[in-house]
Amino acid sequence: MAWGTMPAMRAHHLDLLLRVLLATVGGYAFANVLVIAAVRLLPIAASEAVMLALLASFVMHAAAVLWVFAARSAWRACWTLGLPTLLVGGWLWPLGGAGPV
Amino acid sequence: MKGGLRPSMAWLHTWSGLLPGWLLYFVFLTGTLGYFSVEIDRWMQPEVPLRQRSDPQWDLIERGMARLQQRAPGAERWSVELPQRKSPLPPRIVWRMPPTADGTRGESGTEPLLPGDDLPRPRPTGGGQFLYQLHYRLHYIDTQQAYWIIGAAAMFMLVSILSGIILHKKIFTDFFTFRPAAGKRTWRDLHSVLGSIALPFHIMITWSGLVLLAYTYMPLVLDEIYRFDEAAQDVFFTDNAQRVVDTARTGVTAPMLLPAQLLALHRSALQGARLSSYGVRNPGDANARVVILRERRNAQNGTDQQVYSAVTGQLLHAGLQRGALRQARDAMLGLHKGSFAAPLLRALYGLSGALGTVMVGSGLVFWTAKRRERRGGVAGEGGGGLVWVERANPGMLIGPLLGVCAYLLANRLLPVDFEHRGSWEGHALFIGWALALTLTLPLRPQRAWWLLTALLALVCAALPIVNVFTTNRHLGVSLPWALREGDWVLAGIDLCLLTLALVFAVIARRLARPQT
Repeated sequence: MAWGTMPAMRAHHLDLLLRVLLATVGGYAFANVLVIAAVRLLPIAASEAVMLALLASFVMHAAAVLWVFAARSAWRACWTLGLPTLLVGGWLWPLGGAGPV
Repeated sequence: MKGGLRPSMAWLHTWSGLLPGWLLYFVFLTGTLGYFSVEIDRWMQPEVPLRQRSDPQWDLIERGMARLQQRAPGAERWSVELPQRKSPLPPRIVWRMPPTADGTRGESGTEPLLPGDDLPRPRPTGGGQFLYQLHYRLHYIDTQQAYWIIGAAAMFMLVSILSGIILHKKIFTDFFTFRPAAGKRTWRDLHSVLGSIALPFHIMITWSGLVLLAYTYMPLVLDEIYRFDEAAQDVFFTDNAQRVVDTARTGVTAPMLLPAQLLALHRSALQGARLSSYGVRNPGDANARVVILRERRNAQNGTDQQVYSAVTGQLLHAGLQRGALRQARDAMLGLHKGSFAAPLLRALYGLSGALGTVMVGSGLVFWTAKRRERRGGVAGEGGGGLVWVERANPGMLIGPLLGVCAYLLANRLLPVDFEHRGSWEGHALFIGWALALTLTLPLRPQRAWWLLTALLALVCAALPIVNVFTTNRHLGVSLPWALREGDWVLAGIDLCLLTLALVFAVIARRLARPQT
């Protein structure tokens, strides 16, 4: 099946594959990390923060997908999405966000 | 992506809509029918008696409590379920006995409150609930798997909507652009007109659908708070489940207030309020509670309930206190389900859902039309994926509609005592759909569209006619009833089917003409 909605893209299947992976897996990670950070930082009741996180998470993911496909190149999308995800994720990790405590 | 924002968004819009397109179409279709599940339930159980809705509710409660006293003394809970504006089903009494000594859940029972309502027993059926559940649980597969499949499709939909908005910057111009009988452009116009008319609905329904199952999709968010501690998580769900804290039986008997006495004590709160149920926990005990559920009036107030002491009449609990964000989420879920909506608003829900269904369908057809124009040749011939989509589209878009008709037809034609009747109605849906698809895959698309649309018109017209021969709730009975009592549910469904038959017949006639 031809991917070529845009003729210019035929030579860029790798670029496309990377974007699709970034949008699905990367976008999901980005959304999770961001809303979990919000749950941890916001000075509101945990049950309320969870609600906010659940409402916002899908919007975050969708925004990430749009960004990944709007970016000039897949690499640009990769580091602009990956860097904040890794930074915030790295900050969350040692505080014991993951794993049984 | 190369070539700028617009082509990237076009690509994203096309593929995020196309890949889950047939599934989204099915979800939109069955979800839309789900708004009328109670009405469909009633249509599928023609044995349920026609009844006026004018019985005063406190009168029904009084009679229900008296009946329960005789029918289920010593029960753990009683309740009287009242007819709703949305579902004028006959009032029922429900009870549950206390757990037995070995801790197994007590037996429960239910029966119609008013004499005559229990004969004859309604036929077993999947009802409107089956159609409603299809749109998020699918069928024949594990429910958790289905949730994830539906969630992924919904996420694709959300992305497709957002990229579609960016793509159609001139959304207000598009709104007024419709070029009928212009081939490819007609489908495109139809797709953008429908997309923009009901855009707020599409965004709301997709987002809130995701939020509805968010606990499944975003497990890490809960884990963040409860640190993978299942016990703590259980507490979270329990205190969020809006259930009254169960009270223990004291073992001391005490006389309970009559419903009329409770009403007299709390006249300002209860007089005139439409209730959906009046329940009693631990009837006859000093610790007896009256739990009153109100009928939903707007998206937000969810299941508002008040708890009173059944002995003193004191108000113990006036509904749960909920934070602003919790209320925001509840409002989204309420908006998605539309269960608060009065008939006119619910009709609008149905219309928006139908527009969404056609929007997804027209997008799928537009994609093939555009491809075919660029590639040249005859639709449905040659090779490649395009041909398969062209050939499968009729069966995947008209097929589910035929399936739903087969479902309704099975309800009328299967013997009333047929074993696993409800499941076989469901099988009929998928058998009907599969037949439509296999029948038309070898055909030229043009012919397939005509064949299935004509067939659909026939089946839609046949249903009210089959009704005449198999039930006594056909239009000859339901129409005079509707005119006399203003209860249009049964007549409405038959009239809708006849209208749809007419619409599809007109479309089939147009499709039969050779097109340029």
